[in-house]
Amino acid sequence: MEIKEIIQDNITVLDLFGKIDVNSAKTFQEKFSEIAGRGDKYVILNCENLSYVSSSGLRVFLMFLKHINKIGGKLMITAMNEIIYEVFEISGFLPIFNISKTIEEAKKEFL
Amino acid sequence: MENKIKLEKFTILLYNTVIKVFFKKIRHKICISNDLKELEKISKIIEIFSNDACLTCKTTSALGLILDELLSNIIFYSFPDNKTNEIKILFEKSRKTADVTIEYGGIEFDPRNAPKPNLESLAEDRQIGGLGIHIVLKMTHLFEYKRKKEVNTIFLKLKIDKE
Repeated sequence: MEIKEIIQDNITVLDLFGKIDVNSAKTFQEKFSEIAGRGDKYVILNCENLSYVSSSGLRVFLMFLKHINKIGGKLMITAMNEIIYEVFEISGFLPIFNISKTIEEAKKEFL
Repeated sequence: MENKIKLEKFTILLYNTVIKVFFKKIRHKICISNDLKELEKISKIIEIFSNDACLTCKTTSALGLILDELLSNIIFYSFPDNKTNEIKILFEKSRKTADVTIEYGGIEFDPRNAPKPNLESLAEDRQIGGLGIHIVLKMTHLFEYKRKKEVNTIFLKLKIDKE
């Protein structure tokens, strides 16, 4: 997987590319550690270019959520495809994550 | 003359497509060792199988996800002695499903008997354990496990999504 990061108006947007499986979840977790270490409070995880997320990747999504809730920030997940949405639904993640269709919509949630 | 050649080419193409889609059994086999690095080979064969079987992106992603969950689970937990073992995987296309058979040695474990994950706790109490198998069982149309002569066999069917 690849991750592109943009920070604008105090909001960190991570564009996730490829797939998050057992092998690539490590890259995602390293990015989490970097962001958690920096103390970023407002984060968008954009899934527009992501094909799927396995349970190894869900673990990192959950790490983001727990950490950002703890520091009083907000996490948004955007542009999930059908498979990723289905995996979130099956995993009982939909009620605990903030989800929106686009980055623009997500940014409004931070206002 | 030119039109006749075009028509002939078109007829051959149409014939091959009909044979491929309706009659020819699309099968791909691969054997990997119990090493997570080997999963890259699985991604490649899924790509080839999906292309041959004309699967949609959604079905291809679902197949990749299911195989990642099952094979990583097998690699992590089935061989406690850490010795090199073989895992054989067969992909087949049926009329409405993509079918996968996985054969491997190691310890006996029926994924259908795995403890159910807690899906309702608050975010701060949420754990990931058991989620991978839960996702596989929910996403597959059919999931079977058997063990015979110290060989574990998983057989699953994934419904093929239409465009």
